Parts: sequence; C-alpha cells; structure tokens
Amino acid sequence: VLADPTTPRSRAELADDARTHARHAFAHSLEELAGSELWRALALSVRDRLVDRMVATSDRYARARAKRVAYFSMEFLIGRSLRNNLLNLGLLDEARDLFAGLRLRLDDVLDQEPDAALGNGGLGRLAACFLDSLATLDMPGYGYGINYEYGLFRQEIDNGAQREKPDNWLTYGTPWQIHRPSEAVQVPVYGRIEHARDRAGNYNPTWLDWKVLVGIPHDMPVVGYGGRTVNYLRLFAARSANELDMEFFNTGDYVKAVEREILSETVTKVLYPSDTIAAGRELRLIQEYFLVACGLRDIIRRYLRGYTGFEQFPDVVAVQLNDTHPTLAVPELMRYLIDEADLPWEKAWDVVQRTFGFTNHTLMPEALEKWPVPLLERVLPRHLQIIYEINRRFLEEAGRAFPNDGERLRRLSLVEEGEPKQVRMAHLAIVGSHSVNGVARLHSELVKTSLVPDFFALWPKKFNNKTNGVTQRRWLLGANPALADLLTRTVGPGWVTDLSLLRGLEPVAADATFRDEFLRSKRSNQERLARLARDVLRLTVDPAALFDVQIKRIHEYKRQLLNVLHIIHRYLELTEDGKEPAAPRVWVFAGKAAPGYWAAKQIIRLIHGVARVVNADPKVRGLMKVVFLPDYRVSLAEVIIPAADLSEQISTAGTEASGTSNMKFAMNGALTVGTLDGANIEIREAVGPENFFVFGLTAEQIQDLKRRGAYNPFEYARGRPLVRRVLDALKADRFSADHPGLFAWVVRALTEDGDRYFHLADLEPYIDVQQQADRVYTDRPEWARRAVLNVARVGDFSSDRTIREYARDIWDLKPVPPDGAITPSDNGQSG
Amino acid sequence: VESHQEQVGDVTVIELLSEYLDAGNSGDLKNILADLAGDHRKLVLDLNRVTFVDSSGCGALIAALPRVHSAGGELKLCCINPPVRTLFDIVRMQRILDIHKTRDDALAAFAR
Repeated sequence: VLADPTTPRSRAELADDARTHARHAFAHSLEELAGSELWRALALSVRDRLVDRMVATSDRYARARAKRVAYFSMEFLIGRSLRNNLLNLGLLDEARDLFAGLRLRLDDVLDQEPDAALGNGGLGRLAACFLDSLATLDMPGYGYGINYEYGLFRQEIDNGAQREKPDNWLTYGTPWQIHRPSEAVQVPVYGRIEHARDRAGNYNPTWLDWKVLVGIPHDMPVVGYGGRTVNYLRLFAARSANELDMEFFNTGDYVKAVEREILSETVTKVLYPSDTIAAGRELRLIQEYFLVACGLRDIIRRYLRGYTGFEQFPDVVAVQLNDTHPTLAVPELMRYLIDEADLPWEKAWDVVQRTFGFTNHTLMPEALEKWPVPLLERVLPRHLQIIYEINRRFLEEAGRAFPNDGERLRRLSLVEEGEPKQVRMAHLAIVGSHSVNGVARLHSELVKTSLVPDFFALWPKKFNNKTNGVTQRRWLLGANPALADLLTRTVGPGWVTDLSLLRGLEPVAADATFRDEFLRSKRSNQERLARLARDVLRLTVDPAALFDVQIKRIHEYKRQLLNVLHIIHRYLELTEDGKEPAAPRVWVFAGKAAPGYWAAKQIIRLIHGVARVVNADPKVRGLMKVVFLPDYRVSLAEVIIPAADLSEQISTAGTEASGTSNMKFAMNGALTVGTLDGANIEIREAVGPENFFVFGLTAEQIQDLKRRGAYNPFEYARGRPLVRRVLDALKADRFSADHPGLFAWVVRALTEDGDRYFHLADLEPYIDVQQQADRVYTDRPEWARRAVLNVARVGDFSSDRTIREYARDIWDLKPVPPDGAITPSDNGQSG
Repeated sequence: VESHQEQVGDVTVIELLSEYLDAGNSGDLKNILADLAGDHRKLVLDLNRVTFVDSSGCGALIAALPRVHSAGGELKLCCINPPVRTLFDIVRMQRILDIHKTRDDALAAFAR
C-alpha cells in the first residue's frame, strides 16, 4: 500500500523532488529556473507519484481479475494536466507553498503548460471527463486514442479573420507520457486479397501486398480524486516498421528510403478538424483503423495472459465506441477471432456483439460517417470482405423480421447503393454492438424516432440514453477556487466526489450573507477574465457588467449568428431609439471554425465586424462591449466559464446532441438562456424552469415546419420591424464599412437560402428573453438566488453520475477500490 | 540474402542470417528456394534471426511453396519470432505455411 501523498512530510518531499529534478533535468537549482523549466521540474515530481500509483492500481486490478472498460475515441481533449493532477493527489497547497517560498505564484507556473488539444470539442472533452470519473470511482477504465503530434490548430485572428497555425504541442516533449516501445503493435494496411487455399485445401483468403505500420503506446496517467486510483490513457503513435525501406536503400536511394519512413509516421501526425472528416480522406480512414487495430491487439494480448479461449472475453472486457470513428473495431475484432483465433463465425459474432457498446453523438445527417467502398477495398481489403459478410447475415435476419419490405432493408443495409457505394459506419456500429446510446434524453429519443427508426423497430432493447456529464474536479474545484471554497465552507468537501451534495445549498440561496459571498466570488472571476481581455486584446472590460458568454465550436447550428443578431438589435435600439439597457453587458465569444467551413469562418468575421463598431462607438460606451477571445481551448474555458453570468445555449432545437458547456456554466452559477435542445431540457428541469431563460421553437415544432415546408423566413424579414431593422443594418454595411458587401451573405442565408437553422423565427423570442434576463439581473439578490439554485441542483450533470450509469447498464463494470478504501458513493441520488 | 545451409539427414535446413526479410532481399530468398526445390525434397527454413518480414517477404514464401510442391518436395518453417508470427497470423499465412516451433520439431515432423 502506498503512503498517503498528503502526509505532513509530503510538503518537504515534493520540494526535495522538485529540486532533484531541477538539478538532473536542467543542471540548475530550482531558484535558477524560469518559466517552463520550473513547470517541468514540478511536473516531473508529480509524475513520479502518478507512476507509483499507476503500477499499484494495475496490480490491484490484476489481483481482483477485474473487468475493464476500454474507451475508444479518436479525440481526448485533455487540456492542461498539472493543476488537475496536483488537485487529485491532494498536493495543490503544497505546490503553492513551494513556489511562494521562491516568491512565485503557482498559477503563473501552471500557465506554462501547453494544452493537450487532442480533440475538437465536446466529444473529446467528454472522453477526458469520463477518464477523470472512472479513476475517481476506482473503476478499471482506460482510454485508447491517438498521440497526434499536432493537436487542433491554434487560432489567430488577423483583421477579424481566423488564421490557423499548427499546434505542435510535443515540441519539447511532455512529462505526462510514458513511452512503451516494448509493447509496440504491428498494423498492416493496403493490399489485396488472394483467394487461396490452406494446407487442408479449404478456402483461405490471404492478405497480400500490405504495408505495415507500427503503433507505439504512450501512456498518460489519469489520477482519480484522492490519489487512490491511477488509470491511464493509452495513445498510439505510428512509426514505420523497419528503420529504412531496404529496397530504396539497396539501390542507393537513401533519401527516398527516409521519405518512406516519414510517410508511415504521417499517420498520427495531425488531428483532423471536424467538418473536414466527411471528405473521404484516406489518411483519416487509416488513422481510424490504426487506433482500433492497436487498441484491440493490446487488449487481446492482455486478455490472453489470464485466459484461454474467447468465451469469457466479453465478461472481462467492454469496449465503448465514442461515436462512429472507431467503428472499424467491429470488423477488426471479427477478423481477429475468425482469422487468427479460428473461431467459427457465429461464436465470433457473439463475442463481438457482447463486447461493444456504441455512443452516437450527432443528429446532423451530413456528419454521419460513410466510407467509399473502393477506398475500403484498397486500404482494408480483408475488412471489406468481413463487412460484406456481416451485412449479408444481418440483412437475412432483418428480412425475417420485416418480410417483403425491400425498401426498409435498403434503408437498413450497411452498404448504401450509389456511385460509389458507401459503407454506413453508424449502421455497422449499431449492428456490431449490444448497446446504442444517445447523450441526452431528447437526443436519444431522436436517434430512435428520426435518425435510425428502422433499427429501433428491429432491436428496441438495444437503445438507451446516457445523458452526458462533466467532472466537477476540473470545472469547479480546479477552475473556480473562489466558488469551490465557498461551497466547501457551506456544505463540506463531499461535493467534490458527490455533486448531489450541493443540494445542501438550497436553504442558503435565500440567505443574504451567502448570496453576497457568492456574488463576490463571481466578481473575482470576472476581474480575472477582464485582466485576460486586457492582456490579450488590449480591451477594457467592466467587471461589473453582465457577462453574456457563448464559447464553443463555431457552427451554424449552434447559432452564434443568433447571438450577433441580438447584439445588433441592442446596438440599434440604443443608438437609434435611445433605449438604454437595464444593465451594461459584455458579450464574450470564443471558438474555432473548421478551416474548410466557410460560413463558420464568416461568422467569426461578423463577430469582429460588430465588435469593432460597438466597442468604438462613444454612444454605447459603458453599456455594451463585444469580446472575441482567440484560440479557444480547455485552459481558456477554465477562465471564462467561472466568470459567466449568462450561458448562451441557443442551438436550433433538435440539432445539439447534448452540449456539455451548458453543464459547466450552470455548475459555476451562470443562468442559461437556452432553447429546448440537447441536455438544456434536463438542466432546466433540474434547476427549475423559473431559474432558466427558455425561448424558441421546440424540436417538434421545427420538425413539423420542415415536414410541411411551412417555414418562410421572409415573413419575419419583411413583416417584423425589429428583424427587418437588423437585416437592413447588415445590408447597409454598418459593420463592414471597409468591405462593402462583406456580410451580404448573412442576409441571403437568412432569407433567400431558407434560413436552415430558423434564426429569424427565434429572434424575437430571443430578444424578449434577453430583456427578461436584464430585469432579473438588476435585482442582484434575486439573480444570485437563481444562480445559487443552479449550482445547488446541477448534481445530476456530474460525469460521475454518467459513468455510474454506463458501468451499470452497458459495461457491467464494478469499482475496485484499494483494501479498506471506500469508493465515493452518490448517496443513491442518481440513476 | 545471407543464409547458412546445413544438411540434417535427408533434410536441408536454411537459416536466414538477416534481421529483415523484405523487398531488399526477398528476391534472393525466392531464388534460393527455387534452386533447392529441384534436388532437395525436404526443406526447413529457420527464421530465428528474422525480426521483420514485409509483404514482399511473405510473397516470396508463398511463391516458393508451389515450386517446392510441384517438385514433389515439402517446405517447413521454424523458429518464427513473435512479431513475424503475428503478421503471419493477421494475413492468414499460418494456414498456408507449415510452421513449427523449433528446428527439432520441424525435423521430427519430416520423420513422422
């Protein structure tokens, strides 16, 4: 049993270790180090502690012969690790004291860490939150992903436009990874199938002319709160199989040989930004296969150390597919079981179906992955054969359930007819899994009724809901120490591992002293954000204003545009009608647009165009400010979210699967302005409809309008004076004086092009609800009361609750705490 | 390709001395096996030193088989290192090739 890391000696030990690492890594004393070196000396000291506990955790699981879950995800949006690791190890105060002794602020040292941006947005961040919860709940859960050398691009803003810069986060190496070349795995790709015979004369499809990649695991320890359990995230990097391609080497072409090697290593070079994935990119397909081939081989190797035969495989291994990206795991495990382990098809298929669970993350038809058959045939010829056989058997089964219904079978098929034929990855994932879940109640319903109704008719019991959650350790305890401290003083420290305990705040929501303290903590976070805006943008922001925040990927369905239309309306109301708002307001935006997504990039330009005019106009000084903080990332969100008064969750109803920033904001005491979309619906129910500003068309109303073709945006554009005035201002280049016509596309998109996301229908209700928010905001005690009730009632949106549900309903996974330790319980509040 | 040949009774054992069996030397191996196939009916290919085989190496082995068989001979493999064995398994070559754990096992299989 390892010593408690937070003994009285731990302070001195941490300091000693940091000094040792300073000397051995940099040949300096700790006092002589600066910036990133100081950060690294501390990180290396923390790493030592993580590794000891990681080894102990693995031993504990092995002794218990515990079932494990592998979470397969192309994205893990980790952000920074040092603060979180210190917090979860209980060493944050020790580290603060260490640097205080050097007359340094710990926060400045922690700011040296580059974000690990191995993801685009919510899906990747969810995966990271899940790993935190699994470790905190003492559950054997491991992430499997790709060690991208370049994470999501860095965003710079140049004259209002987004510019993408590479994010080479591994330039100086990271102390958080343990390289394991001894556990490398080989992955063949490309080639063809020869329909040969084996030694007994049986049909033996043999895979020839392949190229082989090698996957090297890099393990990132994931420590749970309290430091008892340290799991890991295993990220694979591609290396070429032999150091140099001998064919070229032997013919004297050394450079070509090296070029070949570089080509292999390209496979894990870069994370694809979302919205460029659907483009049928060969390298992306190889990345997806590389992840699942490496991951499964690793899992099987470990399994075979303790078991023979594959009967028990699903009893000791569960694999969760985070969206369709890792779906090739289905044919890959089939291939292993029938080609390498010699199982008959039926037995192998039973093992596959009992092993996998599939989480759907999107309702947008264009985001559903499909791969062209000719590409699959070239890259993964054996897998395509297997997919065809899965499809043949599946359609036989479906045909028995739906006799004489060829149209339905065509809709169900794993292969979409067309030129070229395409494999529908979501269908493959559904067929190959025993569980299919959506990520919020509404979303899971829409998956059943709109996205794949035929599958629901065939297998109703496969479908379930697991509403997303977020970890309060990072998003409240780490990001908002001012509020966290107040919460702990009020309800005790238990909320850190049992968020339902925040219910204890309800009685004090009406207490004036508590509310004042709450508002003071909010103000201190707003001052921190104002300092950031000053440092980054040289912009003065009044910390006393209402902070209205929308931070997320820029996408039409998320409707940053609706937010901007409201800002324009406010600006015109103030400058033309002289109508002063009830409270000064600062609009804060942050978010990246996919590099190939024109409309999203134009929305960034529009926000900057409006900001330039509003921020320079003396008529609105002190009343309105628009801020776009560049390079949205986890560490920036950690500063922005605690400062928010209003959380903008305004996607078109029926488009956002869940959203998770909506949970982070509510947890930090922001009130939500939101549509009845994704998890907003459940948040509103939990916090109380009176503490949530709801507006807009419902998903049902929108479906109905679409079905009847009854939505006519011109009715609003021409018939509603408020709406017309906003559009006229855009047409008149009020926000694009330097570039006449720059925002004409907005008007076109919202009128002639049909306003696909119903901005104009929702604009007036949105303006109304914002006025309501203003009125409540001016009543500070009432605002504070509502905000506190949001915090008090957000317990269900902890990823601890989500993980418990996955463990119970899908994975059959049990906690394996150390002897004598008690895994945090949820007091029976959830599930 | 560097190799060492040894006669054990009526069996010819070829031990590859290279670490790689790939595009750089698989052609040589194909030639060696083709030459031997005519006169030596019992062949054992010992791959104990080989840690990496690429698809052209696999191709050379698969191409050699029918030549050995048509000459009335037999080819057995032995001492396959785990990474190579894994690749054989993945591409289903283990079902085509007659693979034995040790050289003695391969020789004994000829004796049976």
